[in-house]
Amino acid sequence: MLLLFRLLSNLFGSRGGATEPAVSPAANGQLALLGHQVRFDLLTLMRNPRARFFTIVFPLLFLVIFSSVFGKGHTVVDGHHITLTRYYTPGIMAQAVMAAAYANLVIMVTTLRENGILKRRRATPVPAWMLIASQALATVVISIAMATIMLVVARLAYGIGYPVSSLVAIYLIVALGTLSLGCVAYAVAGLLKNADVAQPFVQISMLPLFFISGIYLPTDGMPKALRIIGEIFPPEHIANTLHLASVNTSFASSVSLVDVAVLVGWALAAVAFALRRFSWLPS
Amino acid sequence: MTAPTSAYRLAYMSSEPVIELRGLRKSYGDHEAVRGIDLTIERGEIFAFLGPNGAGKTTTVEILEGFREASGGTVSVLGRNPWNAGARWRERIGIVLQESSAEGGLTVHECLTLYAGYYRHPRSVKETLALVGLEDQADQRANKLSGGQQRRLDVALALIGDGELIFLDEPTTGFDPSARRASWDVIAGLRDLGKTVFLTTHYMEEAERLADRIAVIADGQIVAHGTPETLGGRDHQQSVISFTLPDTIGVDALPQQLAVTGERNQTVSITTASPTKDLNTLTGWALEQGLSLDDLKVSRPSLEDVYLSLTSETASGKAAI
Repeated sequence: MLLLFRLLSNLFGSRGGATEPAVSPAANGQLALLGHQVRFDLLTLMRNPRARFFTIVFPLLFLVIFSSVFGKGHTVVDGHHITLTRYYTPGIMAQAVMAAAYANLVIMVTTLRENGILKRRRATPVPAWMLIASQALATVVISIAMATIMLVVARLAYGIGYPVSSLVAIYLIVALGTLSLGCVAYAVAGLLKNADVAQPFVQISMLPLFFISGIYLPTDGMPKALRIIGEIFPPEHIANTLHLASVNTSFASSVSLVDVAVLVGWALAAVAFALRRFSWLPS
Repeated sequence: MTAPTSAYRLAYMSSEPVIELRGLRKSYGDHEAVRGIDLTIERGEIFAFLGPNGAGKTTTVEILEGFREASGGTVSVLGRNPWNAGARWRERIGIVLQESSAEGGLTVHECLTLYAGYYRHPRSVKETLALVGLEDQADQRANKLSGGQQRRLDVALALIGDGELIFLDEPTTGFDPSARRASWDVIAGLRDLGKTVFLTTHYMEEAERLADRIAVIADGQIVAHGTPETLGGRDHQQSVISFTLPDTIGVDALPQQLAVTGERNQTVSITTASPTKDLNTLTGWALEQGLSLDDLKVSRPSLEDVYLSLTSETASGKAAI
């Protein structure tokens, strides 16, 4: 894992650092400019110790702890009897997506805004949508990389493998979940005054959901009220369809359209809210 | 690039103004932060915009930069209304914000490479580093730089697009004197590059050193504008002659035609519109009496005096309401 990480950061580090392109990305079309921005967003993300800890170290730690402590137990997912070890891989993957797309983006965007970095970027010719699209893409890359690391760990440490159709479904859900939560993150950043309140807000809005959304615990035995609350928010739907993908062998039964619809709905509502409330200027 | 000759600058100045404001207004709810400002800034000028906090200075600058929409009046910056000017317009300006920190995790060189990519025809990173004197810090993380170095990086980021108009919002606030002088050299260098500079500052010395013209804003209105030498009628203002009399001589003993306007511990001040004549009267009298006038001094009001009197008038006017 560390090796993969080194490799990635070396790749981006050397390109980002030393050479200057002969033709400016801005003169090379929008795709080149987007690629330019994504490269630097990834570089910034990978050099951020907080982002590294919460999106990589933390979920892996949870996967190993939960699997070792509760792994012998059993639960039922979509009619399949499985061990909790098998249950935790998609569950903790949903946690990783939350950390990368929601927690990390909310804290990063409010910090960048407070420090005037967003304002300074807006003072340049780069379009606003491109800065946001780049952050979304960079976050998807991180989420996909994280999902891959978890799948490899699950396979090597616990002997859990998946058919190709499930893997495709898992990656698609991870990407969709990341984009949906990324939109929510911008809406939340529009709501929060500064970076000081971002950290506690993120934790209080995220941690309880880990327990009632099928991430840390199966939801079967939970009181109905808690399950309903869980079903309102995106994490339950990311976790649920990842669980489906982890037990089913066909693509169609791996992806729940209801979950996909809820995630898209949250994304659209969040975008509508962010368009009204999000500001590039420090308050 | 060599320094433009005055003929060259004159030719430039005859073209359309870089910034033109007519009757600019901006309200936030009931509060009117900017109450009708007219300004014209010509190409190649270094223009200093002064004013106390809360006078409408930042609001005006943010309207010029396109971050806020004017409530009334007309705004033209490089021929466009900044509020709806697009990417092509942004290529032509550079901004040093009052408060902005470095891009987290990136080195100085990477920061500049990132920003250079936003422009179709950027200045080279190496050249820009040299311009602000950060060649030796190129591979340092931007957030590990000293305060003065970070500010120079801010200036470099504003210059990387090679725009025509540079906004500098309090570029040397919090600097030690030597860092401030180094920054002044950088800013004065912008003039040689043919840039138009819009500078806001709290430091009168900075405005006096750098600016071709100055405007002072107080309570949402321009209360004075002119060159550093003529601001607020500074060139026509009365001089003050001051000196110290020996203990044995009273003020009453001075010739009648001298208008004594201040006296404290035998130190006397005389305010005069004709300092040469009054000085002659005074020294003639002193020689007759066999007195030496200690600490004899003739002074004009400093730019700071002028600024303080301009801005305190509105402040006290405000307090009276």
